[in-house]
Order: sequence, then structure tokens, then C-alpha cells
Amino acid sequence: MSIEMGGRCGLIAPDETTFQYMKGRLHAPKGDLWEQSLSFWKTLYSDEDAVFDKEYHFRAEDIEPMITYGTNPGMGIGISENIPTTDTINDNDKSGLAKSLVYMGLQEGAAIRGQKIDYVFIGSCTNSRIEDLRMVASFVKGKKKADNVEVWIVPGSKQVEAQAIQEGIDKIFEEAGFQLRQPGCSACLGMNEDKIPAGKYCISTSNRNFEGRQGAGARTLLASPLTAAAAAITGSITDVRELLN
Amino acid sequence: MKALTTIQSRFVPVNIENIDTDQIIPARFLKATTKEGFGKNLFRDWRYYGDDESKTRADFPLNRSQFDGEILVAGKNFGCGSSREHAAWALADYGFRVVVSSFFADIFRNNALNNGVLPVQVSEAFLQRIFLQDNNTELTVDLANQSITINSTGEQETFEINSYKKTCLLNGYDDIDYLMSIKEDIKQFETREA
Repeated sequence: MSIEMGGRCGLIAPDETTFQYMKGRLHAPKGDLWEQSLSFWKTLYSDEDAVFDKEYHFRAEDIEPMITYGTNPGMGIGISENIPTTDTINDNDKSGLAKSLVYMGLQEGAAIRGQKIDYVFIGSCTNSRIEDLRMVASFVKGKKKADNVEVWIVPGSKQVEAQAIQEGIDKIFEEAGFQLRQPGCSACLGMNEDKIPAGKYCISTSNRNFEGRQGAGARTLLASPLTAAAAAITGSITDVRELLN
Repeated sequence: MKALTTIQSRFVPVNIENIDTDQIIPARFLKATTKEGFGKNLFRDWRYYGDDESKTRADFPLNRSQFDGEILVAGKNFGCGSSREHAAWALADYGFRVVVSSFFADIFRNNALNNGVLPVQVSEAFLQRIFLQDNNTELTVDLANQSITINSTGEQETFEINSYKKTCLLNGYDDIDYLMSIKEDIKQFETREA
């Protein structure tokens, strides 16, 4: 998501979780080479006395499920919040608000919860790891999709697809009425046939909601896999926390 | 690549902020094996209603006959979003040599420079001054002096550019052309160090 923040790239220091993940994987170094690589990787940290232009700290537990209402990834709110109004939004974002709400067919000041949706896309490089699919599967197990929605699950890669099938996750999706589609970019940017028709609403776990991104005239609401899964079950934007436990 | 020294031209104003690369060139038009031909789909979904090219949106500046020129003037944060190089190709292929804005997304800026399109970053105040000019106003962009002038009023600002990219644009070099241009120096270096 570094590019969405205006960066050219992002760097993440590898930790034990990363090393555990890498160990024994296809294409990962083996034997002596593994030990050499591991000791090198462990040097890939910022120096103790490194100076940064700006530091931001976020605590994930302080952030409620988020969703976008507009036509760039910055136009997002907590799911319990209402869409901003021109009076309350900061000057920086003012000019785009009215234009984007016309495109989205949404009203300023309105709640985002309860907004009917037509498509659910759980996929893209951003949010279709096996962990994402497992999380979605554990939530939808025994539930059925709402009649008014079409639900597309697109694994991030052939490996993720194979793993999902091996774990029987594909069966859970099938019983819920979700379609497991070909791994790839899919409806993230509508370069293949997975396009959202003009005027239709799609809750999407991809990372971009620009005008026409998922197909000409398509209306995208970006959200996490669990929030997307909740919408798949209810047919409208839902706070997934109300459906857990 | 065509050299770019001084561009004196009328301009096309697209007074919209945060223009992302999905608007500049939508993903469904990215499939091609050369850089040519993207210009006809530049701002595709803002130029036409749906995929019917006969249904043009009359209010979009590219469709308004009073606007013309080799300079595009756009709101701040131009070229954000997807890092697709096709955005620069589409602008170049359409015929724009210069894009003026008060801020450029970093990846777009470099893609533009690599494809002979000069991004000119001006202050927000200067940008708004340009938007206020009538459609016959010409702008002069002088790359050697790194200046942009509103010809009718004489108002001027300077802009920053990476000196290597400046050399490339002034001479019409891409990265390989540049290396070829210093081939003798490279040869001498290799002889010396061998």
C-alpha cells in the first residue's frame, strides 16, 4: 500500500514470523545457503540511531473496520461513521468530494451501513492470501450469500488456490454460493472478463477505487475480507463485528 | 526521443485534483506491444459516454474546440494511483509535451521524464493564475532556464528538474542514448581501469 500513500516503495524489516514463513518454501534457499541468507537477512534493520523525516505509529486495535465511500483510497471512514459533508471535510479533500459522490451515487452525511451492494470481490494481491481465505471461510461456514449479490473469490496465486482446495475451503465457498474464480488480478482492475457493470456497487478487498477501476462506471467500496464477507451474507454494508460470536 | 527545449503553446485546462492513472488511461486499454496508439484512449471515460466513441462528453476540455495545445494543465497530485507507464505514453501519443500541475505523483513524474513528457511543478497560486487565463493565452516553458511564463501577463515561475533528466530531454536522449553519447568517455575509463 506504499504507492497509495504516495511512496515509490516500502521496506519492512523481516522478523521471526517472516523467517518461519520462508523456511522450506519453494524458491527459498536450502541448507548452507539458508543459514547464510538468514544471517544476512537479520542485518536488514534500520540502525538504532536512524533518523526519519516523520514517524507514525498505529495500533491496529484502535482502528475499527474501515470502508471507502469515494473514488480514491484516502476517501475512507470507519464503518460506524457517516460519509463526510463538505462542511466537515478538510480543505484538502473538499474539491473531490462532490464529484466522487455523484459518481458513487451516495449522499454526503449518510450512513454507509445498510448501503445495498451488487457484487462482492474478495481477491487481489492486497487481500487474497491463504490466511484471508481461511478467515473468510471460517466466517461464512454454514451461511449463505444474500440473493441480491454475486460473490467472487479470487485467490492471489495458483499456490493459494491449491492450498485452499487442499484445506476444503473451496467447498465452504461453494455451499455459501460464492464463486471461486481463476487466480490473478481479476476484478481489481477489470483487465479480464471479471468486470463490474456500470452503476453497480462492489465491495472489494483490492486497494484502488478510482472511477472505472473495476469496469467503466463501476462503483467500488474498498474493505477488508471480513467486512466484504459480511456484506456477502447480508447483501448490504454491515459491521462484521455485529455478526461475530 | 524528440528533444524538448522551449515549448510555446496554448494549453488545455483540466481543473481536477488527484487525477489518477486509471483516468488517464483505463486498464482495459493497456494491452499492446508498443507505446503507440494510447493517445486515442487518453482520459477515455471522461471523453466519452460508455464505449461508444460517437457519444462524446461535450463539457470535457479535450472535447472542446476552443482548447488546444501541447501543454496540459491539471489540478494537484496529477498521476496518482497505479504506476502504469502507459499513462505517460498516452499523454505523449496524444501530443502533450508538457504537463503543468502543483504536485505530481512520484512514479508518474519519472515515467513522464522517461518518455519525453516534461512535468512542470508550479506553486498552487501560479496554477490558479493559469486556470484564470482565457483560452487563447499561450504559455512558454523554457527547459534550459527552467522557467514557465504566462505570455499575456508576463508572470513567471521557475521549476525544479533532475539535472540528468534535463540533459536527456534537451538532447532527446533516452537512458541508452545518453550512455551512447558518452561512449568515448566509457571507453577511455575501461582502458584506464583494465
